[in-house]
This record gives sequence, structure tokens and C-alpha cells, in this order.
Amino acid sequence: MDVIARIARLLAAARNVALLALTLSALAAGRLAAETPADLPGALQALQDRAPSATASGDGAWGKRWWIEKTARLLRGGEGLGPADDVDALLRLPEEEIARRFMADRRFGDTILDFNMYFLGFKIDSLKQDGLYRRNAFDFPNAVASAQALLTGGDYLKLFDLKGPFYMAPLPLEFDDPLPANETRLPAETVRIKAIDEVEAVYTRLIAMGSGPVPPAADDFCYEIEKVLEGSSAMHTRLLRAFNDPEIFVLRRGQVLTRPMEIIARAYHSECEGKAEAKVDVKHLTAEIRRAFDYFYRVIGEVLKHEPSNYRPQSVLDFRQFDLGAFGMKTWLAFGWEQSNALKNSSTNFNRKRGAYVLKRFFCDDLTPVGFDTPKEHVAGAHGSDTTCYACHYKLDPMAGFFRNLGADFYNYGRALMVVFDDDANSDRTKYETNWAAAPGSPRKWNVGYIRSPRWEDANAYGNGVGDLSRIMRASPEPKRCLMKRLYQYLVAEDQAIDGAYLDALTRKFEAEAAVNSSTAMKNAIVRIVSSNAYRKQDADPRRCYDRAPRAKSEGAPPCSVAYILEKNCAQCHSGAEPSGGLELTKWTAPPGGTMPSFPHRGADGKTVTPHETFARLVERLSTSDPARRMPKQMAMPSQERQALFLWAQEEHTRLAKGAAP
Amino acid sequence: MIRRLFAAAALCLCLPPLALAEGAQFKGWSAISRELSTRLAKPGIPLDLDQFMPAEDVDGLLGTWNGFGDEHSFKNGAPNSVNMMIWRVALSGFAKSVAASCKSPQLEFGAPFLATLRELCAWPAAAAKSEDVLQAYWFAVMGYNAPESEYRAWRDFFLGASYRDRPAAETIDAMTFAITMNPYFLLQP
Repeated sequence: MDVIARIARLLAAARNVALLALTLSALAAGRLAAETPADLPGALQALQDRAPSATASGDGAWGKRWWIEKTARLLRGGEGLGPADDVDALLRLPEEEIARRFMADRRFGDTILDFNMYFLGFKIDSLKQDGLYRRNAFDFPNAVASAQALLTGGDYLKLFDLKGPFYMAPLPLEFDDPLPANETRLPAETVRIKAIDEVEAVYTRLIAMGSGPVPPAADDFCYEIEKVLEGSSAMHTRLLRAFNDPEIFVLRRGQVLTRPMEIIARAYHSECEGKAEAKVDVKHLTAEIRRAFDYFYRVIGEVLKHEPSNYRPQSVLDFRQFDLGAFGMKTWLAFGWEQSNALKNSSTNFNRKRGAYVLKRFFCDDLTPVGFDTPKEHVAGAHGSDTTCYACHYKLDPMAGFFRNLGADFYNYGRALMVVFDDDANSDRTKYETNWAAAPGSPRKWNVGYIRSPRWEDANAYGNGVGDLSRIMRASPEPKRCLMKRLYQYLVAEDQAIDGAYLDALTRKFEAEAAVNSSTAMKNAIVRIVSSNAYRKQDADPRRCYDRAPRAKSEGAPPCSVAYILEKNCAQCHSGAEPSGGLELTKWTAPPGGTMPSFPHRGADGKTVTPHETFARLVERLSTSDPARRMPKQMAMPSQERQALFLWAQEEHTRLAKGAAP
Repeated sequence: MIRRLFAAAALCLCLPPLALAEGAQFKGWSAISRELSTRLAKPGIPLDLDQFMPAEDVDGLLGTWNGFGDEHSFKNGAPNSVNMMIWRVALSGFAKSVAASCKSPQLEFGAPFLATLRELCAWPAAAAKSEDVLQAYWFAVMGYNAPESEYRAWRDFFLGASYRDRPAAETIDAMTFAITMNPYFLLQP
């Protein structure tokens, strides 16, 4: 009986929780209000360089406090208002000044690093844990360099640099793998010193042997060196117990363990193999061992500067640049430990996952397959002969080509005979590279680049390696537009509709200001967005565009998510008194006798074409590869815009097929 | 327990309908913990709120950006019966802890919050029911996330028949729970 009563109580409690969940879900789903021109207060004030108004939307002081709290949280690395904030003083300030005050706070560095990681697709919940930066915060050097630049008035667009400085995270205080029994109670730093001392002892023993007052017998010395070379793998494994995988990734990329052994091996082969003992140069052998040791010693010295006992950065500006000279490098590839795990290549996908990542993250191109412009030349290969595949591969493969020399873990195989992939397969590099060889007679060597159109090559940007990709990203408008789009999503909401014309206006302003100073441009862009209508709208409807570009028409215009795309790419022919094909693409009205709005569309016989038929044709004309039918005719349409319009048209077509309301 | 749950649900239901973003998602445990610490804790010493979680490693079920081995997106943020249960367990534990702090602080609260709480601890005395005290407590926990209508509904409910004569511990427990289960507190703006 008691058990039954307990079960009944449990069920009652579960029912109440479910009731609350349903309530919250219903509230979260919310009502979707209809868009009215009255809700769209004209041109975007910030884009017209007017000072933002002193009060936020909403109910007076409560509304402004809400805006201040939200802005504080966003611009101070997640920290909203607390007891130390003088809210009444803030209430008296104009919004722009409040935003700029928050951007002057040192916590703003965390916001920018967090946003940069969001832009790169690797945001985490919190950059810090117990007051210290998590390892992830250091893993994206272009994000860190860009954030530091923003805080110091430097070049924020370092975010697009795929090669640059390196920032090592503080060394671990705990190890992922178990330690030998006699070390389990030792502090991590002590274990590291012990492990490093063991390796150093091997080098110093050889150096002492070779440089002693009585030179060793050459055979004996060579034998000792041979033993060290043979045992190097085991020696390195022992050393690596003092690090975790992310640090081991760094040590490997920096060739901290292999390069010294290569130096010694080369000297060993030249002196100890095929030479008479009398001709063996012990001094040369010793000098080379010393050189190898110096390399190891210098790198380890640099690594140990990141012991948590003396390296505990408190702000993004405290992140120290690693001395890449210790590795014999000038720049470090921006793809670090986490991206190496997330963006693995293979002997079948080559580097397409990496290419897709760059298109998505830096160009906001989600690779929706919507046909393509027929190339002027026939395209070879499996993906060239299959039109469905080619809809993505025409841009994906050339983008992947930028990474062709970067094999497993993004290791550079550019000077090697073979390339090794993350799936442990390998390939002859020369043969593998022919996948990107340009056709004979082409003005370029490689079909590597950012491809806007396979038909209109002049619209494309070609290059060779990752450095070229960075250059293309800096020079192209798409990454800056993508940056503004992501910034809007980060500050407002990921799923909030954004008018393309407004986004273009934001981008144009950013580009113009970035030409002078990209940090100032970025801060101004933040101010514009936190002053936007969508940002200031509590309980915003994600399908509405709350912000429009100056002089934008809203009444009777197509839905805001596509109006600008239509205006830019289609209105030239499909507007006015006699639109091409009888289809007017700049108006949005209910057809005679109909209730659901659509584009005005009359057939050749003068009769109204049903919205369902209009959208069926629209979808077909956007996605066909037939140059005689593909729209817009004889011009390149940005693939991001084609994708957005196609997806929207497809959705409308489905909606109309179901007879649903807009 | 059930009474407090109904208090929160009733508050939600009697409020004017919201037009919160379609499919609005939870902020996630990490963000909520940080918000509460910023408002209530001693400077630089975050509140240990993980103690209220019903099990280890379930915070990811309340909405998270964390991940490994692929690009990160916000996961598990949509309200469902499982994460609501976890929120309820965690935040009811927190609410009880706040209420119990009238006798002695159960968490590392900062002086400003303790001062605000102490005034409310006089409930059901009239002094604890003043607009200043109630509003100060509302802002201390909710911050400025919610519109005034939410505050009024909360205040009026607790000044009404259900709680006006109840002991302080029970009332503060329910008050805190109602604030922290409010969609304006839990959901992304």
C-alpha cells in the first residue's frame, strides 16, 4: 500500500513538472504578431549616423534597465549587472555611451574572444572556470590575435589570418593518462621537470662523453649514439606522460622531439656509417648532438614559461605570444588542436570537410545544392559529370585545394614525398596534387580558389595555399558581410530574420570604416546592432525584420528575408508596368479572389497564374543548370543569395501546396 | 513542494501571453550560474550552485555550447520534460538554500544580497511586504531580465491569500523558486 502511495505521489509530481514544461514551452513558442509598417520606424538611425535615442523600447525605466542588463552581459564577457554597478547613473546616460563604457571594460576582451570563437564555430559556454581561462580559449590563435588587436586599436581582421602568432595554454595541472605509481602524488609541474630532466640526461651524457678530456673511441661513441637513436621512441613516450593531448599536439607540430633526433641521426649516418673508425669526426658528432640539445632545450624552456605557477592570464591581453623562433617558425597555422579533431581529412574526402568549413564559417555559404552556372569548359571527374554533385563541388573542391598540403592534424607535408591523412592512409603527393591541377592552357597552375561561378571565371579569386586564402578573405566582401551577419546573430538572436539590405548597409559601413581602422569599425558595428530595433525588442518575433536599410520599402514588398535579394538580382527585369514573363517580383499582394499573398503574375494569355504555379516555376528557374532557363539570366548571382532565395521559395511552395497561411 | 510548483505555474499562466522568440531556448546552466553569482555572490567568488544539480554531468542537458570533435552549436536548449525536471530540482534546491539563509547563510552570498534578504526574512511582518523590499529582492535575483508586469504579478501573488501569512522560510523559498523558474529568467532574451 505504501509503495502504491509513493508511486502515486511520484506520478503526481511528474505530472506537475510536465504541466510546467508545457506552460514554458507554450510561452516560449509565443504568439507571432503580424508585421506592420508602423512597427518599423523608418531608416536605421545608427546607419544614418544619428546618435541613438536615450531610452530603450519597452516600458520606460524598466525597458532601459532591461537593455542595460542585456548589453552588460553581452559586452562584459557574460557578466550582467551586479551590486557594484550604479544602475541609476547608467540610466541617465545615452545608450551609445553605455555601450562604449562596457566596451572599455577589460571584460570586453572576453566578449570579443567569445564572439570570434562563435564566428569560427567553436564557442563554449564560458571562457573561464574558477577565474582561470579554459584551454579552449587559447586554441584559436587568429581569434586571440584579433581580440587583442581590437582591445589595442589594431587590426581586428587578423581573424581572417589563417597563419600568425601562437598562444599556448597554461600547462595542465592534471593528466588525462595515469602516471607511474611513484609519481601519482607529485605535483604536475614536478612530474614535468622530472620527465624533461630524464631526456636532458641522455643528451648531456653523450655531450660529456664526446667532449671529455680524453675523446672516446669512435666506435664506442657511435654505438652509444645508436642506442640513443634506437631508444628515442620510448624516451619520447616517457617524456609525454608529463603532458596531455593538446600539448602533445603542439610538441609534434613544433617537431620538438623529432627534430633533435633527426639532427643526431644525420650526423650519425654521415660519421658512423661506411666510414673507417679513424676518419670518424667525434668533434662533429658532439657538436651536432649539442645543436640538437640546444634546440630541445630552447623549446622546452619556452614551453615551461606556461607553467600555471607563473602563467595565469587574467584578461585576453595577458595571453602571451609563444616565441615561434624556438620552433624555427615564423608563423603558426591557426587550425589548432580542436579544429584538427573536428576537421579531419581522409584519403577519400581529401580536404573537402575543411573546405566546407571555410565556406560556411568565413563566407556564410552553407552549400545548399541549388544548381550551378554551366561551365564554359567541360568538367571532368565524378563530381563534374553528375550535376547534382557539381552543385556543391564546383566551389567545394577548389576551396579544399587550399589545404591540399596539410595532412593529418593539419601537418604540413608540402616538402614531403607523401601526404598522410587523418585516416592513416597516405598518398604520393605529386599524384594526389593532380586533383587540383588546372587544365592545360589555363592561366593558372591550380584550380584552387574561392569560386563564385564556374561559368564566369573573372568573378572568382584563385590562389595556392592557406596564405592566399587569408589574402582572398581579407579582400573579398563576403567574409565581411558574413562577419556582420554573425555579429547580428550573436548580439540579437541566431534565428532572428535579417533584412539583406540592412545587412548590406551594415557591411558597407563596416568596410568603409575598416579601411581606416578595423577595430574602430568593429566597435561601431557593435554599437549599431545594440541600438537596432531587433536588439531592443523584448519577445521579438524571429520571422520579422525589425530593421530596414535607409529608404527601404516595406508596405506591399515581399517578405523581408528575401526582398533585398529579389531587388538586387531580379527587379531589373521583373518589375514595372510590363515585367518579364508577367511576373512582378518586387510586389507582394493577395491575388484577385485569393487570400494568401504572393507575387503578381500573369501568363501570356493575360490570366493570373496561381501562386502555387508561380513558386514551382521560381524554384525550377533558380535551381536549373540550363543556361537558357536559369535565373537571373547571363549574370552571376552570389551563391549565398541564391541559396537563401531558393530555400525560401521552396518553403513557400510547400506551404502553398498544403494550403497553409503565410 | 507541489504548492511551490503550482505557484510558479500559476504565475506563468496568469501573466499576459508573451511573444517570446519562437522556439526560444534556455540560457543554459553555465549562463544562469554566472548570472546568479554576479548578482548574489561576493565579488570574484562564484556561488557553488553545482551542488544543487541532481547528478554529475547533467548540466549539458540544460543547454550548452560545449562540444568536441565537431563544430559547436547550442544544444539541448529547447524546453522539454527532462530538462524541466532538472531545472526544477536544481532551482528548488537553490531556493531552499536561500530561504534557509535567513538563519545563517548557506552560500557565499555578498553583503548587498544578504542585506536585501534580511529585510525579507521578517515576513510576514508588514515591513517585509513593502514595495521597496519586494522590488529589491526581485531585482537582486531576477536582475532586469523581466518587464514590470512580471514583477507585479509575482508581488501580487505573494501578497495575496496564498502566502501573506505563511512563515518567512516557506515564502522566500517559493518566491525565489518562482523568480528562477520564470521564462524571462531561464530563456534566452
